[in-house]
Amino acid sequence: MLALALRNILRRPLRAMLTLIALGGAVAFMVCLLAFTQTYQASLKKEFTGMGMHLMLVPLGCPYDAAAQILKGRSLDTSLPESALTAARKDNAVEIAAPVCAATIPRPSLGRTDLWIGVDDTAPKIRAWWKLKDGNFPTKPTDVLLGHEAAETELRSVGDTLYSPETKTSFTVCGILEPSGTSDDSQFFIPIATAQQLFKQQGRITGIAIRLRDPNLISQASARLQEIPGAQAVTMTEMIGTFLNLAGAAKALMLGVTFVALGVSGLTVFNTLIANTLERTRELGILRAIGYSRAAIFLSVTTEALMISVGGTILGLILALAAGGLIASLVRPLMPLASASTLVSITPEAVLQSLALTVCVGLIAALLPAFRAAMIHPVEALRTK
Amino acid sequence: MRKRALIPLAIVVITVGILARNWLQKSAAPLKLEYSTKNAFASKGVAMIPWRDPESDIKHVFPGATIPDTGNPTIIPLSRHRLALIKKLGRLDSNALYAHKIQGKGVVLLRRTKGENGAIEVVLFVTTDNKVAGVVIQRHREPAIIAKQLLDPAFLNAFKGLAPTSTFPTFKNTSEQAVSDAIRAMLVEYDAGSRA
Repeated sequence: MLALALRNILRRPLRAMLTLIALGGAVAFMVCLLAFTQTYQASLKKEFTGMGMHLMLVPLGCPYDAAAQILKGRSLDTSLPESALTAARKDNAVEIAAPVCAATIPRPSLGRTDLWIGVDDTAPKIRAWWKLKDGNFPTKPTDVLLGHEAAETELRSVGDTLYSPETKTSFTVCGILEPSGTSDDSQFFIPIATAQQLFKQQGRITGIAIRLRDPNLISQASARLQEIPGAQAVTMTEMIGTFLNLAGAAKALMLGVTFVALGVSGLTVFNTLIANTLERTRELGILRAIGYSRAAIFLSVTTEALMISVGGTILGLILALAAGGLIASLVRPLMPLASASTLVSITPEAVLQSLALTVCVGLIAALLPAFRAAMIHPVEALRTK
Repeated sequence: MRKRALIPLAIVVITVGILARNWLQKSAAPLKLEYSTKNAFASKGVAMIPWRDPESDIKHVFPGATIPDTGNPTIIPLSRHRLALIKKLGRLDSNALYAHKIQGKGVVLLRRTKGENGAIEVVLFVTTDNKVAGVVIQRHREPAIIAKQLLDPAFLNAFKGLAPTSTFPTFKNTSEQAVSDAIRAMLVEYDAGSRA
């Protein structure tokens, strides 16, 4: 049966090839989309878990915007009183409460903005991704710790002076961080007291990153910390949810396009099969005359559809492997907090899902041609030329 | 029969091609990384600097000249002269020079150099006979007192007319000396690269 189906497909190689290409294109798009969604979700969860913090205390306002701005190291228009830090540290569930006092200094003539972040000695504990390339963390009021890119841009090494023309302050480079692929790479980290004084934020902080002793207590801890005046708590789970919702909207749109592409491919398969059966009317009549049952003919056409579907899926997977990097490079700038590592990693789950969907499309497309072929009357078929 | 054999053959050829490409990319990657971290090129990116205000700078040095497409500089390879340049300058900041050619006037070269308090970006205008036509400091982080010295026309004009073989002035101040060294390095590198 398989050999017969394959022979029938290969009778018109160009037609079969075009059908395979149409189906393969749709499958490639679908596999990349499914793989991208799965990889993005996994990498987002990994990014947040790797951050070493469970929730953030931010000033009242849009909590997600505030948390996202702080995670990117940007300053906010509003701030928290320092008493919020004391209150957070008193909570039994809190293991580490790391304050941040962020200030941005725009340098429009240079097309960049200097990001100065005030941190205390809890910063290295909560920022699990921080690794010193050279030197130490800030201890003296005039110490500055540079992100990798900031050090390269300013050509600074440990022990060098770094001057801030806007605040008229000289700092000594005490350490340089290894590249982390995060926004920290381009930032200047100084002691929080210095930042508060320089940026006229005495007694104020931009946000507090919190790690809990037991992550299972997040709901209770979040509810308690929410009670601190002027502060609101945003859990990392809520942050993940918000980012995934954003990604979900884009995914829904892309899925719509995929289904249209699959529908068109289904029509191509239908067209190929119906043309094949019409051309073979006489041959099918002979098969019926020599004893082939209607079921056997139905099965033969369905097998052809199955073979085209499987072939299209294989071609689609090859295309997806080749184009995965290109798609990732196009999508990366559009996604919030996209991982620096692979974005489109083809998983067995994605392969199985697309295979199942393609086979379904192929079978649906084969129904009418197979039924038509099975219903051919041998005598009438033999009369046709 | 031959036509039938073409389809699986095409699939096999495409698959082998993709696998070979991926394998070649993987095996080539470490070589590139190793090359860029050699000590002679320690200051990565010092030669590839954006020209931030070409209109104002050109008006100042080459008045009336057409502004080039700053996003598309001419790349002058220096790899052939690497050893000679390291011997002459003591170091080589980049394996290539990025030059903005000004029709009928000369070229503009840019360099980021290590000042006392942060990076200093120097814009160097070179005449067609490889002499300094003008110098502009486009970015620095120096305190007012050093900034005043760096931006002083007397300091900047001291380099005018200097050739790659000239004796360059020396300065006590680290940032001024860094600018002088950067100008000399650009001039010597451009001279070597353009003659080739």
